[in-house]
Amino acid sequence: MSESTNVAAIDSGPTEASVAVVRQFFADLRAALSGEPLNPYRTFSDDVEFVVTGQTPLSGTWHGMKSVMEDFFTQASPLMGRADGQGLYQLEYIAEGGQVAVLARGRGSNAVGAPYNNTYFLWFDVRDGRITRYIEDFDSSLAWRAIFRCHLE
Amino acid sequence: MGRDVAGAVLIVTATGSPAKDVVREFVAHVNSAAGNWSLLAPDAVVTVNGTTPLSGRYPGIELIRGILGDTARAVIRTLKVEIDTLIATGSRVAALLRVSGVTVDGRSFNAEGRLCGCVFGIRGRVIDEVILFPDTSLIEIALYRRRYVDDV
Repeated sequence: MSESTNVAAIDSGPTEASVAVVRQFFADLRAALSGEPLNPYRTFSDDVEFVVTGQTPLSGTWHGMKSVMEDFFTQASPLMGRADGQGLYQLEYIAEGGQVAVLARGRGSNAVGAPYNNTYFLWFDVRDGRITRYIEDFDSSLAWRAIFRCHLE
Repeated sequence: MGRDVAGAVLIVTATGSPAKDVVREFVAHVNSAAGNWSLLAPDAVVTVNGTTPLSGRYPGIELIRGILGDTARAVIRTLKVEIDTLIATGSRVAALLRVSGVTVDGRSFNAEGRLCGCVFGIRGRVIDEVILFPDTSLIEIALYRRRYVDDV
């Protein structure tokens, strides 16, 4: 993960606690992508609202981790590559109370190893130490071409 | 925070966060269609995420108006921006927005009101940076009438 993220101005208290939860998610995600046997979504609430923006076959809203795991990740995981160093690199945090926005760059690959490096606006609602809403906003047009191996006509 | 747009009259109620107030006023100006760019610093940088015809980094009012604005006007007849949520850390504001409108050939886009993210940088009473994360596949499909076709 990047160590140069902009968090200097974030207040202590609830905001800082929310940021800590989100930072843990990023750390868990990178560890999992590097092969460590842990659930990268352990900071997500059981009743999380999970939103992937865009018009791709995997865009939509899922309610609850059970649905996220069974309905989203079972479709998404086979389309993605795995390699050490892949994950989301945080660029900037903007946070207030239980809401955290993160600008991030992704390093990834598709199922056949072609690079898939997207740019993200990620939104987290945090309550009682758990992420209750996650919105993944990114260049879904790039996902169409890199992940779903389509072109524009 | 209340907002009323009636002609050129904008009523924006203060929130206690000067940075958020500037963003709310800017959005009200965008919706008023008055073409008022006074809340953008002359050296503001607008970045539209992605790989669409509208995407890119536009430094300065001349490029923002001359390239981004005019390119958008070629495909968008009316544009409506609604603020769902604003949060701020100092002079940086993150927004969840609903961006919708009507294309030049009369078709609505994002009538469902899906959210997109945006970051604003505030300097004094003006905006000096905007980073917008629009639904890029919707831009290609709805605004440019393109479609995604399997490579093989």
